[in-house]
Amino acid sequence: MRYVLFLLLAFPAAAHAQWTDHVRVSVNVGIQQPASTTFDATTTKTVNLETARFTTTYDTPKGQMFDGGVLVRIARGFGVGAAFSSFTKSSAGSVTGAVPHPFFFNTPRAIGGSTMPLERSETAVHVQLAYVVASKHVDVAIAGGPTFFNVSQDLVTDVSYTEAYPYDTASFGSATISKASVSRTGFNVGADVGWKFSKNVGVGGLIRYSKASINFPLAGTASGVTSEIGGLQAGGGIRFYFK
Amino acid sequence: MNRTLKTLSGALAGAGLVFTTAGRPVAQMRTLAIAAGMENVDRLRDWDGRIDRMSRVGELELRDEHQDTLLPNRRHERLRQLYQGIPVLGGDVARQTERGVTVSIFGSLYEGITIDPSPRLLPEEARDIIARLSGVDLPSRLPQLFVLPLDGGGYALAYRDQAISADEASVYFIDATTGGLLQKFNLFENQSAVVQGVGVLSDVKKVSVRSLSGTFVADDQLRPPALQTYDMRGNLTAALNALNGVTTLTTANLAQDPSATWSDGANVDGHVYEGYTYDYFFKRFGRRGLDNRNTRIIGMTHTVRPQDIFTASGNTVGLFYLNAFYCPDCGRDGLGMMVYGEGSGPAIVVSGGVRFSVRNFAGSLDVVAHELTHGVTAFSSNLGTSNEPGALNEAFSDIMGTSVEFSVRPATANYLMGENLTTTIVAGFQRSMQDPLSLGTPDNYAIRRTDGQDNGGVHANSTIASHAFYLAIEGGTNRTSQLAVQGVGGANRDQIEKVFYRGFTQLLTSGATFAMARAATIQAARDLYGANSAPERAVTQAWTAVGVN
Repeated sequence: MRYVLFLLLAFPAAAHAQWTDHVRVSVNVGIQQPASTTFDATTTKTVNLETARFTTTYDTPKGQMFDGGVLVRIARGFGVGAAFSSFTKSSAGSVTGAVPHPFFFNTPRAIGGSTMPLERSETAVHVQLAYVVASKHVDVAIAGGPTFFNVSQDLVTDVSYTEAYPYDTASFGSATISKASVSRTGFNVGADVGWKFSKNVGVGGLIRYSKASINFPLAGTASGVTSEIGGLQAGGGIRFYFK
Repeated sequence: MNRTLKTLSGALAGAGLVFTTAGRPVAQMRTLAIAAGMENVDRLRDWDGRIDRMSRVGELELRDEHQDTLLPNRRHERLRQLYQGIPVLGGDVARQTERGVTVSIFGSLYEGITIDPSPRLLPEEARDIIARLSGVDLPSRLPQLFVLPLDGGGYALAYRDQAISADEASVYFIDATTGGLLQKFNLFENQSAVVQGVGVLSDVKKVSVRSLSGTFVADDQLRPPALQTYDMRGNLTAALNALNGVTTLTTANLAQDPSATWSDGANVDGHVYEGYTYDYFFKRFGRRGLDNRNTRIIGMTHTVRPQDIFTASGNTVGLFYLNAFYCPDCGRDGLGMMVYGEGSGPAIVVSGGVRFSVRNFAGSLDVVAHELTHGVTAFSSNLGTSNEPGALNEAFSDIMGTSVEFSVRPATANYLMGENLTTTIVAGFQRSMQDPLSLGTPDNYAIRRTDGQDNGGVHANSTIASHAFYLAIEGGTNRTSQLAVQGVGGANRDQIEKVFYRGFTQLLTSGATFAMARAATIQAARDLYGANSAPERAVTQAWTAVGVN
């Protein structure tokens, strides 16, 4: 939110000036707050003649983001550009489940535990139409457009458990993990502010929100695993300007 | 040590190729995973190239290559992973090609192996360790060296070999550096199976069986003891030979069905109820089977053919049709066998003017538990089979039989013995622990049977003691003495069950009398719950109410 305020304050001061650079290249590091920080998936399989259910809660906390982009002026304050961003974060998932009893129907045994860290990796190409206003030292770009996501996510595909006679309890053993990858198109909107300290070099800040909804196919589920990808990205870095 | 298991799978499916890969620290991935619907030809080609490179540098070894027998032009390769020339356990790949082009890859590969490939232990030393651990004198065959992925992460250089004794068949992994036991698992563990069974009363239940060569046999692999049910298929001669120890029952005699849904009610119920009874004694008293040492439990069904009841002798009908029994010394090993009566089959039984049919005795949980409790008695107090010891013997079996019923089916359990045997309750066929007089057996020592029938009235007089058990739990008034008892209540039934179990299995001896049973159970109540405790008071009042002082 602080970034948004900063941009809103910066923009009016620069609004009267003309954008004269032809190309602007930005490289940023920052933080991404994922659009969806948790999601669940329940897999089922037949155990002891009944259906065993295992629900994994995936946690995707905010994490470091890398971003690089180029913006080309096409007319007056308008430009087109593309940015590439990358976000990777791992966090242990929590598994709960109900395992049918080997001797009795309708006597499930509850299990629960944590998985190894599950990795979420998002790469995105943000295609943008931008409007830029600039002063001698400051330029502000408001941009938006489609985003092409490629997301890979570690998914729990099976759960093992331990049990011993008389089997009235069972304990979580381990999770079988597979990486699933999905590509999806979403959208992005954002703003970028730069401050030139020389003719061709400056520093700047970025804030961008992008989002898409995805579905990972997952065996043992009726319709796969649905999650939101993208999120709020905020960062800062270096800017290069070319006439 | 960091360890990564890389699982890969690819297959042409539906619209395109599906493929997944994943790298994880430690062993959380042992099964193949296909994320259907994701196509990734590039990744398949990538893995294809990696497999070729790994083969060239000796990290994969071709183990088998053969033509597809169903699809022309298809070939299959199996490769196993090597680390410094040593096989990695569980690391292998299956690749399918069509005219030289790879169309699918499945398998698991381990990464991050950095252990020293030189064993400090000689194979002979590892063999000696396994021999010592297993108690099996192993032959000259030497254990094989493997890289063993460890459950807790990392790898170990390990020798692997198996040892099969009369008690178990296990695979041992011995640390090739320290000589310690890394892992041991049962060779045949995966043969256990659970099938669905339909019992004598058409009720559906789970049956713990063994999978064997395309069929399922009634050999419980999930409970600690050998627990087997044999189907004699109406061959009484074979049953008698087995009971008398003339012959040994074999796997071929086990009740079996190739279907995962068993429909022979007697085989289903006999096998399941033996397990339930074992469970009850274990969970309630910590007892491990009949002898408390997990001796094997054998039950026999269908010792006679139903249609032969019309030509069978009266004694045969009484023993093998309308009866169930535990024979404590039967079998070639003399460790006892259960026999479940076939029931009346097509015949109608007439008793006291009542006409009724009798179901297979295996279908009555309390009856099965009753008979197995005779085995518990035989291995503990060894109560006699006539007069008062015999009556106490029967009473204890009724008490435990009913207790098993309350344990397994609390919603429908009752204090009737054998109520599921017939469609109508018949005096002389069933017994009531709640109201013995209602079914013609005494509820008080003062009116005990002394006519010499039934080995001194062992079944009839048993209800004196079993009624005392009932009163100690539920409370009430003895009809004959009109003495009232304050029971501990059904919610505390486990207290009285433990008191009677302790008294009858640990304190009583073979020639015990009713008076001794009273004293023993009161002592047991004091041992377990203290003097003047509610259980002691209830048990004391109950014995007094039934006229045993």
